[in-house]
Amino acid sequence: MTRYLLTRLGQALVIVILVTLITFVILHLLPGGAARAILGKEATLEQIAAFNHEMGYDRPLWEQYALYLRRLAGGDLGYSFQLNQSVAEALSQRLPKTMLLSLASTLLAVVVAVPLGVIQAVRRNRWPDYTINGLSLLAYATPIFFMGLMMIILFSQVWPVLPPEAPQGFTMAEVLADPAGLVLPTLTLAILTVAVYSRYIRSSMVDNLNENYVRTARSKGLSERRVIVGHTLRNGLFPVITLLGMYLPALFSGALVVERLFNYPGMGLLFWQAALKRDYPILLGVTLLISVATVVGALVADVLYAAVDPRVRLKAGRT
Amino acid sequence: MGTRTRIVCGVVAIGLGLTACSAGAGSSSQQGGAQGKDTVTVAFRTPNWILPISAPGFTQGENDIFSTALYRKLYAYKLDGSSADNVDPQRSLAEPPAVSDEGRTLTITLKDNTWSDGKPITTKDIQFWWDLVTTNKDKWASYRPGGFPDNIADFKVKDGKTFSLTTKKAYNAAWFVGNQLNRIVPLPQHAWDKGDPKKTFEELTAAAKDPKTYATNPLWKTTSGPWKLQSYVPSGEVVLAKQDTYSGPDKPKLNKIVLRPFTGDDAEFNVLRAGQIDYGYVPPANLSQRPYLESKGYKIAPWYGWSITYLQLNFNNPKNGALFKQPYLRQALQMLVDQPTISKVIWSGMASPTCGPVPAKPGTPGGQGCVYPFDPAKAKQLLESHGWKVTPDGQTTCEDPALCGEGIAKGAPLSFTVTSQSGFAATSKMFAEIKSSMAKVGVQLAIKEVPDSVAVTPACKPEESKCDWDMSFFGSQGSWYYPAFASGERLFQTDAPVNLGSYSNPEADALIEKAQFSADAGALQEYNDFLAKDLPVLWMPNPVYQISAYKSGLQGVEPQDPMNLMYFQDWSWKS
Repeated sequence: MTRYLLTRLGQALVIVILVTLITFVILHLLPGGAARAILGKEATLEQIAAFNHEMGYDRPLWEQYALYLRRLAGGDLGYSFQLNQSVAEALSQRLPKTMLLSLASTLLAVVVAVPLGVIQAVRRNRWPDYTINGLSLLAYATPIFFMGLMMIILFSQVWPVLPPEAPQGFTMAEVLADPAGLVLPTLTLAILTVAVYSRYIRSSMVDNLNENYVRTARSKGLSERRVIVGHTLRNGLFPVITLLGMYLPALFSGALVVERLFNYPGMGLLFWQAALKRDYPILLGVTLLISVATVVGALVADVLYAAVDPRVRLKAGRT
Repeated sequence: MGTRTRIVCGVVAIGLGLTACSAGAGSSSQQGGAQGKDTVTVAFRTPNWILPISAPGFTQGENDIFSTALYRKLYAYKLDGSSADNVDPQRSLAEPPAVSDEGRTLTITLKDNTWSDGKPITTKDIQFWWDLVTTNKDKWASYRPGGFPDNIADFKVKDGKTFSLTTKKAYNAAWFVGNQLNRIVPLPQHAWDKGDPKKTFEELTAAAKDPKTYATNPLWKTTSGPWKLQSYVPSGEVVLAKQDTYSGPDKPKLNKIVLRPFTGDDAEFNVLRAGQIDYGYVPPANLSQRPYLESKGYKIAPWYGWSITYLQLNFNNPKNGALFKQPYLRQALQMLVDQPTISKVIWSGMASPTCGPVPAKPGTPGGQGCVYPFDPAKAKQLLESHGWKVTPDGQTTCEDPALCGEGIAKGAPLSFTVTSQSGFAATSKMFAEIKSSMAKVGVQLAIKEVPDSVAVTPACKPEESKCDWDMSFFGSQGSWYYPAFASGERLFQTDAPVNLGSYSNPEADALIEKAQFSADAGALQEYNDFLAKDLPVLWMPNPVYQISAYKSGLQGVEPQDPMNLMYFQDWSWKS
């Protein structure tokens, strides 16, 4: 297992470096350049030259990349001219907010989706299955901005019980002190995720319910509840583990639409605004973070698989 | 907190891992909405530069408003025509300058004012500013080689209250006062000076590059403005509190101004609709909801800027530059832009035609008497009389190169690409309309929308690869905002810094210089009349700076400053 983990970590490192290299090259090949985007149309050629010199953009690309890696090794993610902040500071300001929102909505989605998926599988092709299926499809097909807007109109204007924006506090304590503000953005994100997860769980549960081990369990006289919760659900949750692993990068990358709609400046918005202004240090910082999250997510999913499924463990041990 | 709220909170609390909801619907709004009679909450982008000497990249409007709230400029301006050279006699820190020496020397006397710590504002503070900008001019955003302070032959302090500036050439006093003296900001020498201007500037810049300490760094505590910084969150909320020791005549009537940033127009508008901010804006796409906002107690006030809007033509484009150099062709293209209709229908009346380089009367919509009004029939006739074979809804081509003009080959098509701004619904609709108008005389217009059109359409030489753009539009909120004197030396003079299309006309250059240097009061009008006709760009509908919405109980918001400053000290709640 240790060797397996070390191999995977090595692969992960190579992938992360490749991602930064590709991002770096693509960003610098974009037409226009950062100087004009950030300094505006009034900037003189001298000011543009000074900016490029200060940010190192006047050096050859390979030198810029080497410099970036060297700074990165020293823990320096760079400085965002557009925000007048260090990249690390900008990330540390937004990442906790994004993670709170993503975790809350994912957790809510899993808590709701698992029972829904199980009910659908157990009552398949009957009215509960049809009803949940219809609602899931509706939620899945609704654009997220529309969903968010409807939430705001319904719950903060027509029936004003919740605030139209997410908590505006600076620290996490301030944000958490205002949970009512988190309700609408969390719900907006969760509804879509519920629709996706419940479909996966239903399908996986239906497959498992037809397996021989379920028949055996039933023939041994176990209660239906134990058969479903104790045996089938455990196997039925595999796809959710894969999904959660794949979802890890999303925890870090934020949800642009929800952030914009609910005035919640997180990672998605940070990346979007940086892209508009060609703020390379921020773009690289966010990409690096997300690529690390992606490979770690895949790794965690594999390890979790190994933990719940002995077959994966045995196979890995043999190789 | 109501039962309904508790139920909804309870559902989400499961997801959040929280035990209970501690606040209700109003909790997020504690910082928003009318918070009593002494505070106003304003939708406002977070300023990110505090030092009153602006650095390149930090010249955005919000920084100017923020900086002016804390540090008064030497001169404030108003464009209502009530005072000489547009100087606002009340808000300015000095008396209007006395001009002598055939216009070359301006003597300025400071009024009696104090810093927030009670020390008087003297010429030492002006000298300190002067030393900082002259020693570090390459790091000052407003510096242009040959401009201020290079154009000053002598800066002389006479006594504690009087100083003079002698220019190298005699300038038009209105230009010099409006466009050069507007940069002077007295700085607290007694609190900031470390002796060496280079070292001092470095330290001040380093402090300005650390926004999280803005509200705590003692440097920023000594101010001259009506407000002091109470709290500052980088990329977040900023709170200005009334400066009790403010010595100016326009004392704040409110205790606190809360500046709240929004992640986008939608977020701002949702909060505005919910009535949780006192002063915000209506995104143009949501203007149809004006009656709803008015029913909620908001007043809608278009904010007219001292601005013009235009479509930049690239005279140096290796392919189409030769076409743009033909005045008749520019005239024909201008006649295909229906400015009045676009302003009225597409911009819902929140734009007005631009007719020339000098904006219409400040604070009002313009658009009277354009030289080339919308007239497709005349445009067609003009093209045909210059050797073009006009094919309506097809492709118009040059049939007679001798008549088409220099550098235009037989069969050359009238086909252009406009690089426009994405993210502005009205702009997209406007170009769709112009494309359709142009197609009617066989002029093909392709529209390319990018997030930042200025960044990809730089001034260029024909041989450069980046010179392949034809037309550029960056005026969804106005293309250009002027200082008090609306002259064109930065826009339309040959090789001017913002002459992105490389327009060049010796006659225009002469008129621009005349407006800048001659005492002739009619020079600016002469310059305007010439360029209105010569079309260095295509004049386009000029949108308002913003459609403001404020609670009707809030007084003193209007008139809104055409030069985009906000004077919060004038604001108060109706008692």
